[in-house]
Amino acid sequence: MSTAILFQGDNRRRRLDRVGPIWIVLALVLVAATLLSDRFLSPDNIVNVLHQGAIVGIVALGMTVVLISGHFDLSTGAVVMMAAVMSIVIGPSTPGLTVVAIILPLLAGAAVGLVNGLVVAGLKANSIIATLGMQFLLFGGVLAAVGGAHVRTDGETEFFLALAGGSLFGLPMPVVVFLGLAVFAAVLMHLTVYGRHLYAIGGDVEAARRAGIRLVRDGTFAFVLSGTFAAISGILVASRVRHLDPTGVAGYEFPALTAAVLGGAALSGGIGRPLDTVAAILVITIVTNVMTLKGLPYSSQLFAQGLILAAAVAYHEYRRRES
Amino acid sequence: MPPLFKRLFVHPPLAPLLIVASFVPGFFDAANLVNLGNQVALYGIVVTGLVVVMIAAGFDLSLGVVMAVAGVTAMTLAPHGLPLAFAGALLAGAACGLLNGFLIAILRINPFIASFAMLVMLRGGILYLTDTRPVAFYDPILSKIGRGTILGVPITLLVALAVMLIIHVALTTRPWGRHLYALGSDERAARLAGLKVRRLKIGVYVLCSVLAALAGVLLAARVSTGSPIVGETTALMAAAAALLGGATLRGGEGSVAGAAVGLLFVGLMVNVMNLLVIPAYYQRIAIGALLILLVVMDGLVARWRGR
Repeated sequence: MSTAILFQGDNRRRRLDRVGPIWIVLALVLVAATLLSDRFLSPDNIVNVLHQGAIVGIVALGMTVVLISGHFDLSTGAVVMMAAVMSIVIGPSTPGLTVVAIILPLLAGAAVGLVNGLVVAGLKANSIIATLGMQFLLFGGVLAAVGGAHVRTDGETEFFLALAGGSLFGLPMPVVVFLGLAVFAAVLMHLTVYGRHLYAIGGDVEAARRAGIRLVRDGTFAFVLSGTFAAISGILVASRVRHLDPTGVAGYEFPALTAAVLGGAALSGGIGRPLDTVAAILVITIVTNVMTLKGLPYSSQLFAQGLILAAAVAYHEYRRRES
Repeated sequence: MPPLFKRLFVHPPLAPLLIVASFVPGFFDAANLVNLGNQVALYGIVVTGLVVVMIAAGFDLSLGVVMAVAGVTAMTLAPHGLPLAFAGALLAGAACGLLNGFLIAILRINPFIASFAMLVMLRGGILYLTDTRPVAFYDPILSKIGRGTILGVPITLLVALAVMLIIHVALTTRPWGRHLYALGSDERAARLAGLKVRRLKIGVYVLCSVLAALAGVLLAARVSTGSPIVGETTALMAAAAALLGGATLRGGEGSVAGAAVGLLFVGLMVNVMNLLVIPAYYQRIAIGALLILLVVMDGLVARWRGR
């Protein structure tokens, strides 16, 4: 079967030239936020929003790729924590250690992704339960390794501190990293053969298999990408703080999943665009930021996120059934 | 292999674990056995609900937070009378189940994601309403229900056994049970055969949440406190027990009796680890590894059968 036929179906959903509805939502949310709080547009707050959005956003990009392949990755929150703890425990106080404190967490994140991928894409395990199991395993493993205690570091190199603290073209470094990875993910998904294969796998596994796509290899790589992205996020968290409470770095997978779904990634796979996830992560970060500015507690923000996820899923599933 | 042998030695290896347990000092102490009974009882109620949902090819990740919601509701209403406390908590559970059922059966959202969204929403909601503080209220009768024993058997265990027996009988002898198995193995066929698929589905989610709420009330009764943070790991422990007991993530299979054996395995494992003073982190690792192993087996079995 020629791949051209395989991709005719809903090509327009994947093309870059159509603006996703999420960008309109983002514009509306921006206007609403400006009207609701006069502190929202202050430079400090904007930088804060971008910073927060970037760290969750990197996780969300990986989640989007995995969703497109037809699976879920709920282990990413624990990978962020693992990478952050590793970075801090290694203690990037010399140039050599700085390299180790960046490379090792990345490798560990990729390794977790590899295991997830082999278990899910290779052994056909349910991805939600398998990656939740992985989350338990990592969370328990990291806490056991550090004895449940806080970890701290001193005298980090300038370079390591600049990962989160520096800026480029007036943008905070994490935002630059986030945008870079977003472009990378978009190019990977829209312009490469690998991306087409992943859309094909998520759209119809059986058709993809018959078209000769290597399901296990390509599916596993999506998880490796997701694990690596989460590890990058963890390193940025580590660079931001000297002192880290491991249990405090948890739950990144939820806003990441919410953003990917809000951006239009289908739970059943085959549909989704990394750049729409960028808009969605901004929407979520702005909503929670305005709630914080208005003095609403974190618990109410959790409630809002759950509501957004349920509403986004309901909306997208409804529209897909209509069309 | 004879089924009973298989059930006790292979899937799950309950008997070997029991032999190991008998060598652990303190395992046969009355206090530990009552403690084990109490723990297993609460999970037993929850797992029974989850198995019913899994038979109907669904899932519910929001079980644990429903326990928290029910516990807090019960303890908030308890000063106004126990009947009100129980009714309020179970109603709150039913409302959560109805919402799950609406998202899953009417809006046709993937059950994992629908209940995951519910989980986060409810956790945020209950933390907000309680201002993250537990609600304490001591009532002698409630406390007696939660921690008392009759002839050495914990009352909660008796409640759990009653629940399990009722659901077991309903699943095996009533048309409702056959309908659920039919729905779980092939939803389209079930609909074409004239089953009211939506109503059945909403029903199982309401039942599951009401049972979780009952477990939540009993837990709150035991410690005279309704805490908004309980149940974080409940859904996955329950899933492990149900999968061990022969339920699958694709539906149409599973039984209360199987889940009970699976639950005993998980309960014994946790109990032995507690007795050996293994820190909670390692227990998390063990549960995570067990879950991954179970879903891998679940996937392999599905492939061998060509489904």
